[in-house]
Amino acid sequence: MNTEKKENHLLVAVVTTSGSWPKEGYENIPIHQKVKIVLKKAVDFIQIVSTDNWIAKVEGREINPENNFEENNLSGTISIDYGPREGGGGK
Amino acid sequence: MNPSLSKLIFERETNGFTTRLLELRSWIINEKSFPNLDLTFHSPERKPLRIKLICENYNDDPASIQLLNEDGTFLLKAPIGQGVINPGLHPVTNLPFICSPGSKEYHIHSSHLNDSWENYKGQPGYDLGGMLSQIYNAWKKTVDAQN
Repeated sequence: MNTEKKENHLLVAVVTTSGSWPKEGYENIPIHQKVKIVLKKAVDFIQIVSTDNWIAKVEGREINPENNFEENNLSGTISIDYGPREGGGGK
Repeated sequence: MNPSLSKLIFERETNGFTTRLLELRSWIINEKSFPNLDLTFHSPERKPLRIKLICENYNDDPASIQLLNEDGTFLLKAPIGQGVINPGLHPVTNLPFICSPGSKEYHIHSSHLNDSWENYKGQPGYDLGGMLSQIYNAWKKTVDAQN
């Protein structure tokens, strides 16, 4: 389990209903890494087929995967809640 | 559908419900035993919402999704907001319901009889975890109904 944060890094976990990345603990990620890069790693690890219309949230706040962690005002130790948007209705 | 296969799909789609997920989302599982998946969403800002998915013949058929009070009784007034939680009364059940192609109640609603589950089965966001995530994300944007 990774709990030691390096300088200019944060500790990140991605959590979904299909599993988590990493499975336990957190990964050291540079604060200038784009969030979408980390989400892609998680999706590949958990083997999620598609994340169309998914949202990433930290402590209830939606974050922008196109921005890096610092630009999303994220630091320290975080868990990203990743899953389908609220949807609604149908055809 | 063969009940054993249905159970296998049920278990495959729920075995990622880790302690980490449950703690992060403040979900408490009341029952996870095929064909029933019953859990409660908690949040400091609102009343808990209990959701019961009945997955008989899943996934040839979508899950029937019940909106419940914390004590397991039917919710008569759903929280108000946007997304899949429809506070209107369903013409068949006469209860608030989940208005999403991932629910059985959607497909037996007179407005959606021509929209087959086959259009959604196996699609991203319509598995059991995806449906619960949609409901949870919708619920987080609601306000409690006034009694």
